[in-house]
Amino acid sequence: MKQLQGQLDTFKSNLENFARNHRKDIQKDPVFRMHFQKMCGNIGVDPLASSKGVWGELLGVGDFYYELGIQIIDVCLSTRALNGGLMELSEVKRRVDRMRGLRDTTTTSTSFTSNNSNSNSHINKLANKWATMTNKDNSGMEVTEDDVLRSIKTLAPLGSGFQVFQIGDRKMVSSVPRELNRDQSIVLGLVQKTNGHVNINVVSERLGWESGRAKTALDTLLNDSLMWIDQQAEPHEYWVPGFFEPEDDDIYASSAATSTS
Amino acid sequence: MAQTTSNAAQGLGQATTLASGFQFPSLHNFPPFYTLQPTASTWKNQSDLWGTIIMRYYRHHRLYQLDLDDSATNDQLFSNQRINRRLNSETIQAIVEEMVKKGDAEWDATSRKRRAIIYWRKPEDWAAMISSWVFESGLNNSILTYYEIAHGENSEDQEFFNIHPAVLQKTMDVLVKRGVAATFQGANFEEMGVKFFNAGV
Repeated sequence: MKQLQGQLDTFKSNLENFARNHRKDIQKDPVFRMHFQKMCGNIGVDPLASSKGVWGELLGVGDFYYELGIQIIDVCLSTRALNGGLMELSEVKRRVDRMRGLRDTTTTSTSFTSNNSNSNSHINKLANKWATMTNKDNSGMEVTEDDVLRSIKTLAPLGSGFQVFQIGDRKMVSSVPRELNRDQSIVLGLVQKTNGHVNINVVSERLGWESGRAKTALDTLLNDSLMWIDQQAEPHEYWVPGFFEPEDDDIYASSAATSTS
Repeated sequence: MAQTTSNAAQGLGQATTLASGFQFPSLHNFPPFYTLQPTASTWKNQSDLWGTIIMRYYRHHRLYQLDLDDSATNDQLFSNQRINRRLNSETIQAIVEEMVKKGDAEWDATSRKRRAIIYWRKPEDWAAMISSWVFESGLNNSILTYYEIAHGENSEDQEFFNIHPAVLQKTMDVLVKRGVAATFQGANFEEMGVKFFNAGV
């Protein structure tokens, strides 16, 4: 047992040396960071627990996730007016990247590319805002979905209400404390495959549900502001705005600003 | 009924730009945006978003008055041919009602909520703009008519050129209330006069 403890201590100090030597890589290279995280996790060290601890001081990783956490909150809150506080993980990551001044490297199936100057200026503004707030240039600090997930976990003790749901084959970030019942999750999973919208008939047919059950699921999603209804379609179409992600999001920011003022 | 397919396939994420240069947000292509949302919190957000679009549209085109019965004008703003969706006038009225609550619009009292002024600038802002123009142009020593402010040679390059009479009157009310200016009756609206006090600014 003593021997084991000794080995563990040696390993820890080696890990510290390793971290010191590869600090730059850990901060810059998301894949490297993920492997390092796993390595730490294996011996029960959590470098993210705080920016004050040995690891935080050594690496500055605590700050990294703290800062990322604030960016995630910003992204989720500024789009809540439209999506009811439910957003795909990949979309959260994409917007965080833009906020950090990174160009799109991945495009998800539900995102659109556009080159309008409004959105660009908005992004630049955000990027500048972060550069000013954090007093450093974040460009090149790429984040992964894994980083976003970790960061959301670190937000949890703050009572943020942030949660991650597995819906269908995608992870969704919820910024509103809520519970999704089974039927709601199933319907949201279905909507991923039907271009962001469904009607009662589609739900009934695809899931083999009676129309009453389909209607209840849709209506509760509507009530929870996760869906919007289009009554000019027959039968009425239910849309998940979280799957209709516009590029030009400055309008949401400005309307959020007017509603809080 | 209109069949909606993938919005990605239709490029609906991309905003529509009008010949005037006005660019709609891509939300303008979101079909449920044209149905008054039955969920209260969603409706609150929806009406805020519409309000923002209306204000931007009116500012861009220098429009002042929204008339629910002027469907020719409203069509461009409140309908979308690409997705075959249209806001009905009850919903537009409800949106304006929300804007009125926020001070972004005001119903014409005689119109039974059919016409409203859209305040993409507040009367207070117009007041500041007009009074600094008056003093900078040295027009503060004489009585100006409303016509000279709204349509005169001196104001041609000003943002308030062709300002709507109702907005101009509101603006003058602000100036009078602040004791910055006094107004004088004229034979008609355009011949109304205003005199700025030198100590006013």
